[in-house]
Amino acid sequence: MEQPTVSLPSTNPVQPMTQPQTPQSPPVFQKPKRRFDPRFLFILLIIVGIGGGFFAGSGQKTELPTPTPSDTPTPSPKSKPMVPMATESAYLELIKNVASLSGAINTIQISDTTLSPPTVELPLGFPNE
Amino acid sequence: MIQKVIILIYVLFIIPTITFASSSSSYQEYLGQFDVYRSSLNEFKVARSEYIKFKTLTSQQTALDKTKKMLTTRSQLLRVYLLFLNEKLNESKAMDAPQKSLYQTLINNEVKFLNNHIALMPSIGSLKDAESVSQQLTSHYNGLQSSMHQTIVGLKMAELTAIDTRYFDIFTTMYNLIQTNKSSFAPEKQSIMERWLLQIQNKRDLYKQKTDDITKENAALKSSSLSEITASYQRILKLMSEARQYLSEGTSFIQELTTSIQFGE
Repeated sequence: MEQPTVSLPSTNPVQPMTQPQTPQSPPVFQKPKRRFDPRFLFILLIIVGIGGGFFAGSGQKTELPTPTPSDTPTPSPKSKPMVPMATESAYLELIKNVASLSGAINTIQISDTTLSPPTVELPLGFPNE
Repeated sequence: MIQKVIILIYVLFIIPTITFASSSSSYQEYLGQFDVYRSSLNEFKVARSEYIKFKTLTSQQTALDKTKKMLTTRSQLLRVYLLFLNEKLNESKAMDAPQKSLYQTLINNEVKFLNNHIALMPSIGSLKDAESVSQQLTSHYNGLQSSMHQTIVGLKMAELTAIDTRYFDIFTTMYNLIQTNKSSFAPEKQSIMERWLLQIQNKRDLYKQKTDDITKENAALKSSSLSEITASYQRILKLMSEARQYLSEGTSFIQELTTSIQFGE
């Protein structure tokens, strides 16, 4: 007796084409970075300034003691006694002459550029013929 | 009365202005003449190089014309400068009459030479003539420069001498004043004053040494070499500056002493 041949379904069914599996890392939730906002510093400074101003204004003013003149006056430097000659006309004339001499010395110009003599070209420079 | 006031104003203000204008106008004339000379010198140089290059009759004639013009302006420049120096001598209050006359004679001789030199210009008929006339000034040039430098030194030395005379007068007055009132000062102060007077006198001695050096150096101004004249003139200027410095320092000492002698202690 012949065995009927029965075609058996294949044991390797066609596998659907899939992507190769890669190892997946767990998702990381990035926290937003905390950045310092310079506006806060500005506002803080204004608040501190206003607060400081109020504090200073509310404080009681301490009055300085008014100075009272002492019984002993401050000693002034001794004025040197002048000799009688200092008021004489000869001395006053001398002072005037010295000032005038000093002015004359300061105004004198030794190297006066306006007086420099001119220099001229002398040889004519034609070839001897 | 009004006439007297007008005359007084004229004497006080207008006459000094005229004398001042005299030297300053001479200087302006000298500067103007310098420009004229420079311009004619440039034209001469161009004409000369063209003549040397082309040797044509036209370039020769142009060179001759430009040479004559340059020679005339050159002599006129030197002449105008001498007249400016003459005006400076006239205006100098520091220089005495005999000295003034000496320097004016020196200048007048040079002006005469230049006038004669300028008079030769129309007779120049060739470049050879021009060379010969130019040579006349060249051979006299050192003497001319010597006269100019001597006059400048004379003017400046007169100013220094006038200041020294005033310095000595003030020193003498102060010395006499101190001697007359010696009893008003404390003994220590008297010795200090004596020392200061000595230092003031020393400054004048140093000034005198410098003027002696200037007199010696002045002889070199009469040299026949132009470079020696210029070098000597520079040395004299340096010596005069040093001499002036001594008088200046001495005057500062005088000022200190005059302030100090007001007080007895």
